[in-house]
Amino acid sequence: MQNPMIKIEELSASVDGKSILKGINLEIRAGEVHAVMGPNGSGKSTLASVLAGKPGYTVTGGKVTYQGKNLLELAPEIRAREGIFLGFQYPVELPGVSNLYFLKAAVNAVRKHQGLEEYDAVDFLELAKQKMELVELSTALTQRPVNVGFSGGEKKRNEIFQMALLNPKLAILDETDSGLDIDALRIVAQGVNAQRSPSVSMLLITHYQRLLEYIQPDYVHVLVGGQIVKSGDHTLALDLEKHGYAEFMSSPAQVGAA
Amino acid sequence: MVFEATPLAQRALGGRLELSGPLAELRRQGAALLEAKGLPGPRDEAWRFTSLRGVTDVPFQRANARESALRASSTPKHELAGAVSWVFGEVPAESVIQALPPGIEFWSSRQTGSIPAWAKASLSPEKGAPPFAALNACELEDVWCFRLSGSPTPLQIIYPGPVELTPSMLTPRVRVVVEAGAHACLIETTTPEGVAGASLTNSVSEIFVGQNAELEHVRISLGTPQSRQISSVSTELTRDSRYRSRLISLGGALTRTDLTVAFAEPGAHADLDGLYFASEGEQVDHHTVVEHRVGRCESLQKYKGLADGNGQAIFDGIVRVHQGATGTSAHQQNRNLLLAENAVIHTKPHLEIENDDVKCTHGATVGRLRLDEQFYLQSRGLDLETTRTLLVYAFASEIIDGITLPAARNLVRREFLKKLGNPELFAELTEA
Repeated sequence: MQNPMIKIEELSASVDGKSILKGINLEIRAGEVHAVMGPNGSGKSTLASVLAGKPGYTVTGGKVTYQGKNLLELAPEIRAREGIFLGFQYPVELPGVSNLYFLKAAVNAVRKHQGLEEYDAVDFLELAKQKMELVELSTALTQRPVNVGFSGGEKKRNEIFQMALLNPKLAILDETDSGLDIDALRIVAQGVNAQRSPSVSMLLITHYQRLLEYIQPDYVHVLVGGQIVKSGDHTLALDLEKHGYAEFMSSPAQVGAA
Repeated sequence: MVFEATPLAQRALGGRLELSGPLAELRRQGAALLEAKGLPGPRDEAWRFTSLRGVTDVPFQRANARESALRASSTPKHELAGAVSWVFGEVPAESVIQALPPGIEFWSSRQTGSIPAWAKASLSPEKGAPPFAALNACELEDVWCFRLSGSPTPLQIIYPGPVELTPSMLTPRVRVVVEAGAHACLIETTTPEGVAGASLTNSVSEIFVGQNAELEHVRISLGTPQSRQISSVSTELTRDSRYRSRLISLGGALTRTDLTVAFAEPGAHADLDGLYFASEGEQVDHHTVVEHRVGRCESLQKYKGLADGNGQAIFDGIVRVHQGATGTSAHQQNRNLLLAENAVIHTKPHLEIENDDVKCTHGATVGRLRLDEQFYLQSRGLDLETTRTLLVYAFASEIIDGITLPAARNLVRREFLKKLGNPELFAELTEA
């Protein structure tokens, strides 16, 4: 059987001494799209943050193997260069730094790490033009300072634009659907779907089933109280939509692994 | 103020240049003030955080202003494209003066032995000026007067560093009058580059903005580990005038700027921005005084400071709304970024309001680079150093991008990135 893109085993993590993740087990193989759903405070965003290496989180147990490497010992920028992309729930604004420059620097840092030739300004602009159509971003917007004056929807589309340029092997999208109207959601989903391929894995973190109407996952996991309490195919998301998380909240965790 | 019999003041009061006419009168006024009040020390509130070690305890000799100017002119570094750029200290040849574009008029007090009527009447008296302005008056050799009556060509005045290797001092003084209704742009650049010995540049700029006139005033101070720069800038605004001041100080052993903006008549607007950056071994200090003497005027201040290494950055801003100045709107904001454990930021915004019917706000913040913001950039593959550079630049860019004149904006951007150790980013971050 094919080696997993990422293998998470008994992962536990805390923030400020408070235990948030309590033994997560999850395997994602190349080409698979997994969705992690759960109520507020269940640890969904913590999982995304720990995988991408955000400071402030302490891993208290378990391990994460990404493409055969011990992921947890890599600096965040190395994880990015190795092909992990995190789409932020709240992207940061960078006044005075144009989106295109920022992305060129990012893409070239990744390419350099992977032994690929760096893009010059002309080639990069050409590439960026193709990708911006994908998420219906205007040229004007891509030349503006990073996320400055962008609407909520534009920021999320910009995240997907960045993802398209960075060409990750594992994309983690943290609540990418939050705060989006239906049109923005459709555009974001269209951008994500265009990047689905047998060599790319995705982890969608979401509270609502809505996003999954547009991006159909191969697997859905329910995260409650820092543990995955149920796993299934995309129909599980529909069940959750109907019945909510109540049944998982009242009883202690039933299942530990997918 | 307590008289400090400092070597610097004693020297100034000791040996006097033989001058006649208005310069002699200015010197007499300066000497009287200096004798009465002396130079400041740590007991003076306005100098509490600013160490004057290496300034008032050093008997700086008067530098050869002419040679200093000639050296700076022969190795032009910071001349702005498209501007009239003159280096203070050596009066240009008559043909050069004649060739000034219409709308810029020049007058050297030393050369002519007088101060023109248009520059005299309109300026506030020496009294009440910062103490170093009195020292400037005491030591001055020339006053350059400019009358701007609406030239599209910006005027740049460059203050060089002394040529001497021994502790030396330059004392530039300019008066700039913007005629009623005129639109003008003035850039002052202090560039003590190439100085090997300790240097003091003690400059005074007096600016008058006529009725319904508009002035963009950019002041860029670049420093060296040996340079002490003390600048007293005062601007008087008359009816319905508009003034945009951008004070940029990018280092030096000591770079202190006192900006006084006085509203003399109603309807005027002042937009005052500042950016200052002190790194290892540097003290950068801004004191602003905004005098709302009359009503219906508006002042907006936005100052941003950075301190790295063991650098010390100071902001002290006072807004005074005088009795009867109703309908005043005054807003002051100071934001600071600490980049190292040993770096120091002092901030002291204050308001004095003797009035009702005013809209005043002020605020100050001191923070560090945020880890969550760093993480965003790192998560895109950028290393920590690039990440920090971009975040620091993003912090400063609001002020840099607020400089209207592109050549001046680019000079500031280039020097800022150079100071951050990433000059190569200039091309990347400058819009084509």
